[in-house]
Amino acid sequence: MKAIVLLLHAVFLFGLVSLIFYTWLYLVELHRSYEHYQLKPPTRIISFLQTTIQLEVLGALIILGLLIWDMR
Amino acid sequence: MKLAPTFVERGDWQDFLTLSGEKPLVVTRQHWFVLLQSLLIISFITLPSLLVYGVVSLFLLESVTLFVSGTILIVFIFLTLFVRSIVGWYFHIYFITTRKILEVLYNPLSSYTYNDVLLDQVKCTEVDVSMHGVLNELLDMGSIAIVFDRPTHQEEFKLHNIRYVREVGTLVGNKLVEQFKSNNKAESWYKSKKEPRALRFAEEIFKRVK
Repeated sequence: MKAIVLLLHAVFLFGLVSLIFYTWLYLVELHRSYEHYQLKPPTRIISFLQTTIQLEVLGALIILGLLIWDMR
Repeated sequence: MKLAPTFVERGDWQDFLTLSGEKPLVVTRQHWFVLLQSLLIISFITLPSLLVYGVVSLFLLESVTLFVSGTILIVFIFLTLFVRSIVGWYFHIYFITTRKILEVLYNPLSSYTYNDVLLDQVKCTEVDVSMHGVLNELLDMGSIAIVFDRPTHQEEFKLHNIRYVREVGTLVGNKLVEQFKSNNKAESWYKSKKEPRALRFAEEIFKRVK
């Protein structure tokens, strides 16, 4: 059972790290939308995404902490 | 006194007015209810999945830490989908100007569509306004289909689920008829020599090659 729990923790951590990468790429593309397509990005969404990335990093650290906690 | 609704959304649209003497008539996004619908769908998918995951992790695997880590991931996936829906709605814009009709649809890392019809190139038109259902009637939400008869093929330009559909439909109908009259100088209707009283419609006019 412990092995399954650890494996699931690792899968969730990998998922969240991938999501951080995706959100960062999405934010970069959103910043470039005016440059490429003359569409001005919504400033509130940009600041929301920046906050989301920070929260996702915090979430990843929490999952890492929980993984280490369960490994004891 | 009730003010007439404006059909040009707030924003700087100068970059899209590329032709000479071009003025915006309608610049609109889809109705806010379309966004609300997609956000509700995302919520209805996320909440039950969170509930099922809670039951599995707490009662089957008996691990509170696993419940916490999985919940964090599900919440962030939900937030990402939420933002994607908002951005997709925000960047789906319809432009009707005095010279062209344009649809821009953009979602970063996913899709980009730029569909425009130059009004100088079209011959005749038909503007159809449609509203279906009580909710659409109450929210003043519907679609407008503008049918063009181009020399090569028929084209339908559709504005899906927009606000003030009746008013926009009337405005588009009136303005486009005026515009087509001034744009299309070529006579499509002519009098026949055999039957002077009858008017005939010429679909295509070709020069005779000797």
